[in-house]
This record gives sequence, C-alpha cells and structure tokens, in this order.
Amino acid sequence: MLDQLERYASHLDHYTELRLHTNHTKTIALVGGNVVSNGASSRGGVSARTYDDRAFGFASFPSMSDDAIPGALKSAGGNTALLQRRAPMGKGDLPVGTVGKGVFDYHSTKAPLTDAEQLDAVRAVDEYLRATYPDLANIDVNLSFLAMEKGLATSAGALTYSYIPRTILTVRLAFMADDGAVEVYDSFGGFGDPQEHLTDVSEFFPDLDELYKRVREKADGVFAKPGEHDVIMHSRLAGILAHEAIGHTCEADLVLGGSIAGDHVGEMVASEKVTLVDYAERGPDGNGGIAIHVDDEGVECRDVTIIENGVLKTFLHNKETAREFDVEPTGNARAYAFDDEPLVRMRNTSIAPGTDTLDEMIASVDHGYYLTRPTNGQADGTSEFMFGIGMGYEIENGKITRAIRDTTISGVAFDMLKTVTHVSDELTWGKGGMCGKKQMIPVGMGGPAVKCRITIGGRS
Amino acid sequence: MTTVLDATAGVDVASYAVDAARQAGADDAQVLHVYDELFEVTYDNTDVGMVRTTVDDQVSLTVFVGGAKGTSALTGRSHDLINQAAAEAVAAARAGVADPANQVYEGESSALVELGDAEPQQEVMIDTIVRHQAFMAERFPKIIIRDSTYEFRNRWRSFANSAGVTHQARRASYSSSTIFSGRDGERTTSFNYTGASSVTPFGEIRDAATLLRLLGDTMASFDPKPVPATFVGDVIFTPDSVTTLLNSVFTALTGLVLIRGTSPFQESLGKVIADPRLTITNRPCSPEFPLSATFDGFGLPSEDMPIITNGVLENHLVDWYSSHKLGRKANASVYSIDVDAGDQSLDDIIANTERGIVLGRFSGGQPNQQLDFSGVAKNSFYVEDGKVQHPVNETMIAGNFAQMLQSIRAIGSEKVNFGDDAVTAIAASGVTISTK
Repeated sequence: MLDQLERYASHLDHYTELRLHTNHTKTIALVGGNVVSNGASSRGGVSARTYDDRAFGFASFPSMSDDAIPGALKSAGGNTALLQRRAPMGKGDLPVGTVGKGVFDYHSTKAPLTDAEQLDAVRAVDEYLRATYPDLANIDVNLSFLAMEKGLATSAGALTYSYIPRTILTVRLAFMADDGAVEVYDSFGGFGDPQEHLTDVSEFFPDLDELYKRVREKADGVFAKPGEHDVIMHSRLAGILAHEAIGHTCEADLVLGGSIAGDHVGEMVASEKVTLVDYAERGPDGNGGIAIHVDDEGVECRDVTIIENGVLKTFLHNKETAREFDVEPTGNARAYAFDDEPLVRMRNTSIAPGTDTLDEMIASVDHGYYLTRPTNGQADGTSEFMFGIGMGYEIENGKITRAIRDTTISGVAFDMLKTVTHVSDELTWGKGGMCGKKQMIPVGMGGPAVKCRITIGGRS
Repeated sequence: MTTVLDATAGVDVASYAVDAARQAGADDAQVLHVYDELFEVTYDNTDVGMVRTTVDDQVSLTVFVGGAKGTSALTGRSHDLINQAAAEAVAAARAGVADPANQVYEGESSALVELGDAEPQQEVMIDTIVRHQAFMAERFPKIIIRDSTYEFRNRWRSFANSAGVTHQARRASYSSSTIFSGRDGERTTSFNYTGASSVTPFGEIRDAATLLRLLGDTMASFDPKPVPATFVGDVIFTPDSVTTLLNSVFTALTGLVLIRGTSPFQESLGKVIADPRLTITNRPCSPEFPLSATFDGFGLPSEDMPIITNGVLENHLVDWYSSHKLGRKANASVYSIDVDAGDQSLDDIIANTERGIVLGRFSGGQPNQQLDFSGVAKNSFYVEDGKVQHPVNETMIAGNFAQMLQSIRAIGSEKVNFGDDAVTAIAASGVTISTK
C-alpha cells in the first residue's frame, strides 16, 4: 500500500490528501441459539481531498487500482473547481501541523483463527450459558471484528500506513421477571485481532456467571427515583462521561457551531480533582481502546489535555478548526470509511485517576446510587448530556442494596463536574465504544470511578 | 459526476456471483449488488465548504451449504474478487450450523423500476444553498448552522438468487440535513437538526419538512428552565420526535424479537394494542418515499400492508428467515411508516393539554425489551393550561412506549413526509416528567 502511495506522493503539488483505505469486518451473531449472521466483509477504495484556498473537494472510488487513484485526484480537483465557480470564499491556507510518518501495524503475530474456530468460540459461550443457566429467557452472543487498514500520503509530506484491529464479543442475557423481560449485557475482547481474544473463551466464564447474577438481581430490581442524587459512577461510566459530557462539547467544530465551551477557556469548569485528556496512540498505559499515531489529514497525533485540575484548557482540532482558532492541529481528524471525509473526532478519552478508593466512595453515600453499566449516550452544545444506564444499585447508609431497572442520567457538564468530590485511583478502558457524528467511528473511553451529583430519570 | 462502471449491469454482476458461489460449493446463494453515486455539498452560515462525490460498488453474497449460512461482502465487481468472496462465504458456511430456516426465496422476478433524476442538478443545488444562507442571515441571524448537507444520491440495487429470482431498481433522491443552534451573546440553545428527502430538488432548503418551524422554535429557546416540579402528564410528540415512539414499537414487532420471545406484542396479533384513533400502514411501494425500496435483501418484493388499524395490531414484521423460524407468512423487511392524520392541529393539541411538554427531540437510553424508556427532553417546551409556558432544560421523561400507545389522546392533523416516513404529532398521557 505504501509503495503504491509513494508513486503518487511526489506529484501532489496542490493541497491534497490521498488515502487508500479498507475496513475489514467479521460478524457472527447468535440470537436465541440461531446463527443469524456468519460472515466477513472487505470494503475499501481510494479517496482524495483537495483544497485550494477556498474550499474542499473530495472524491472516492471503490477500487485501489492505478486507474482509480488518478480518477479520484482528478474528481476531487474538479469538485473544488465547481465550488470556486459557484460559491467562492477565500479563507486562506490550512496549517500544516507536525507532519506524520511511519508504519503502525497491529496485526497479531499469532496464527489467525479459522472461520470454524471463530464460530466455535462464539458457540462455546452460547452453549455454556444455555447449559448452566436454563432459566434464561434468551441469550444473544455477537462477535464483531473491525480492522481499519489505511495508507495516507499528503502534499505536505505525510506518508503512513496503519492496521488497527478490534474484536468485541458481546453477550446479552434476558430473564423473564414478573412484569416482562429484563436484560443485561457485557463485552469481552478489545483491541487486537480475534486470535488475541478468542483462543480460550472459558476465561470469560467467571464473568458470565457474574452477568447471570446481575440479570437475576435486575429482575427483582426497582425503578430509580427521579431527581438529583449522589451517585458513584463505576469506571465503565467515567469513560462515557468524559466522552459525552466534555469531549463532544470541546470538539472545535462544535465550538464553532455554538457550543458553550467556547466561552469558558481558562475558567474553572470542574472540581479541581478533574483532569480530562484525549490521548493519542494507545493512551497513557498502552491499553486505550484504539490506536492512532497519524490522523487522516497527515498530522502527527498528540495528547490533548482538555481540562487540567478543573480548568478548561483547549479543544480538539483538525486543520480547518485550527486555522479558525489560530492554533496547531492536534491530530483529531478521522474518517471511518474510504468514502468518508475526516472529521474532528475523539480518540482515547479519559478522566485521569485520582487517589480515592471505590469502597471509600460507596461508604460516603447516605442515599444514592451506584451506577455500573452504561448503554448509549448523547451530548449537546449546552453541555447538557445524557447516557443510558443498563445496570445499577441503590446505596443506603453507605451500603449497596437493591438493583435498579434501566434508567437514564443527565446533567449539565459544566455544573455537574463541579460536584465531583471523589475520583478513584484506577484507570479502566472500555472494551468497545463507537461514536456517531455523521459517520460512526471506534473510540476509546476510560477512566476511574467518580462520585458526583447527577439527575436520574425514573418513574417511582 | 463521474460514472466509472456500468450501473445497469447489476443483475449480471449478481447473477455471476450466484454462479460463482454454486461453483465454489454452495447449494444455494443470493446476492445483492448496490451501485451508488453521491453528490454532496456541505455548508454553514457563510461558507459552502466542500463538494464530496463518492462512487460505491458493493456485492453482498449469502450462501447456504447443507443448511448452514455464510456471508461475504466486497467492494468491486471483478470476477477474481467475486470468486474469492464466494469461496470465503462458502468456507464460512461450511464452518456453520445447519438451520432449516436458511432458504432462498422462490417467487416471481420483477422488471426494472426507476425513480428520480439520473444525474444531480449540481449548480441548482449549490445556488439553492447560497440563497438559503442569505435567507438565514436575514431571518435568523442568531442561528448558527454547521456541517449541514444537501445531497443527491442515485442508487441501483440488483438482486439474483439460485432459484432464478432477479430484481433491479434505481432510486434517486435529494436530501437535506440541517444542524443548527441559537447563539445570542453568551446565551446558547441546544443543538437541533432535521432532514428530509425528496424525488425532486427542494425549491428552497427552508421548505424541507419541518425546518422552518424548528428554526422558529430555536429562536424561542434562549432562556430555558426546568419544569416547575416532577409530575405525571402528557407528552406531545412532534413529527420530528414521534419516530422515537414508533421506531421502538416497530422494533418490538420484528421477527428477530419474536424469535427471542421477549416482545411485549408477542401474542398481540388481532388484539387492541393502541388507542382506536391510531392507524399505521407500511407503504414501501409508494413513490412518495424515495428512501424506500421495492425489494429486500432476501429478494422478497415490498408490499404495502396495514400494521395497526384503529388500534388493532394487524401484522408483525416477519422477514423471510424469521418466517421459517416462526412458521409465519413472510413480508419484505422494507419499511416506510405512514400514520393516518388525525383531527387536531399541533396548536389545538397544545390548547387541549392541561399539563405536559411538547417534545421536540428525545435524547434517551435505548428502551428495554418491555419498551420502558427514560431520557432527556431536548428542544422541548413546558405546557400548562393549554399554553406553552417556556422552553425547558434539565427535564427528563420516563414511561413505557407500549402503555403510551394505549394512552394516546390526540393524533395531529398535519402530516409531514420526511422521505422515508410520513408522520404526525401524537399526544399521549401518563408520562413521568421530572426535574432535578
């Protein structure tokens, strides 16, 4: 791939990004024991994006042939020219940033698993649960593998190749409670090819036993009381908190779109216990959910400290927003598929660990909730956010009591973060994480446990 | 727009792939080929920032070997690539598990159906955006639009299977997607967005579905506050938010959920599941829905059919595979919801509301199997004594979508066609509306 790009790189005279990109996927889905999905896909091609002081032109073709590459370059240039004719703007050059180079190949060195071995692994999980817990109303087991393979050359001199794989095994259990089915889920695997995670799935069985206990607890659970409460968020939730509550609000394109974060740089927006970073590469401990070394504009990625000890410091940038803010691009421009343009996206986003222990934090709550598992989340330019809660417990007098049913929590980030009184001493990264913003993209989300006050939706 | 491949050859590509699968060892095979051309313009208040053109050419094979299924998908149509994909799909199937529900569809083939322009009206589209920017500057100077798009998509879908069934269709549409928020000094509103698709270009962007009304709502949203207290009241879904309710209900009617056995509508065929004022029809065959399709991935032709008539559930949404698992009649898995209009305007519904909210957008967790939901009311307004009192923030709603169907108290008279669905406002009672 790099050899092919090198042949074109020296001819990229105007601003140009030339990307060869294939997404490899593998999906096996068992629904109620039925194999409803079993296959792979390979979706790729070439894209070119040009800019000439006025506008971007982007073009892509579903091939990497030596016919398609010049075609993409020519079409992208033609699209820029079309805008010059109909809607001229004249905004000046884009900043170059630190030009990224290198090969970042995360192929496993282990022998790949065959189709049969992968399906056997998924079925082994299904069969274990079916045999061990026959009272479950339903079991879904889903293997989802995605590897993004990219080569990029730019007129600024970037030349890079990457192969970034992720393997997620999701298990969803349903139990029939008196008032209908309740569900819980857990994810296994993470960064890497399937052979890194599925060679011996019996390692997952103790966690599956725990998951069964959770669904039984939830079946007997109660609806949360609506209103503002003291809450302990498990580290699994802190990642989505960092992503939804702060990360999106501080994406510079959303700041230009009216996000309230634009008014608060240099101000205390959180408790001084809160430091929040969007990490490049694989994060500070090498265990982040994704790897990214050079972004899709050819900029070398660097860590971005968004909040430092409670003070809002800066935003996440691509080249276009960096020009608007007169700063250097940070390497946050990412595209999901070969026919997608790079957008400002998060990478491995996390609240930094503190010094408190989880046990101390739970013991400090008189009446509140311990929230252990998120579902989905959404953000807003006002910094008001929400995310779904798939599992949690009441806390009474410092002790965990009854499980709660599905609920949603929300808050205004720049108010809620000021209520953070405890941050635990552990950093945990979620196994998966996809973010939707015109395009879907894999992200890493991590953090410690956090104690704060937050609004819970409920019906009781 | 550059056409690099013969879009009309899709049935030939699909048929070749079926033969390749058979030669690789498949007992049966079905192939969907999609050839797609996109012309998209991205803009904000002052800039028309990017023209993006893409060409896609996807072949998706599903093969059956000894009753086990394997799939493979690729971009491109070269015989070498297709042969490789066929071999991979067969290998996956050979590793798979036999299931008697894995069968190809045996039925009638259909002739080519075409809808919409063959080429985008590129300069007309850009000129429309420039006019829209001028309109926004004059009428809504405090509204920021960002990353909004106006696109033309021309999509050929072709199908072939080993039972000799073939279909081909071309559908083209113009689509507008607008993301915006209000900004006045340090006051800011929530983001809002809406989109719509049409067979023909939009005369003006502001005429796309509900955009003009939502822009007005945003201008009225600069000083939000929570509802005064937690209460049980009405939620008035607007046409933009009502799909939150309807899509959750539709998901619970699908074959895979019925196979799981967890749907609240598992045994509800022929029974009353909603207020008698609610009638919903699936109309994928209507030319009014350019985003719909004339056949599904199994090769079943789309058909219009009643889903809920006067509150009675008339059909589950059972695809070809699920029909064999459940022993039921199959229908194509192509959906365009069409809600029968009611007899009250949105303004009338509000005037008849004692206490509740107008829900502009629901930002919430995924409803569970029983359709319990909770989430944040965004772009929404508090209503008391028949009048809109103020925009809301930090306000949550919680309830159960299945129960809400039964507690509907009004259906809106103003139907909005978004290009995939045509819906109205729906008001329902018994929802917990809470504040912190």
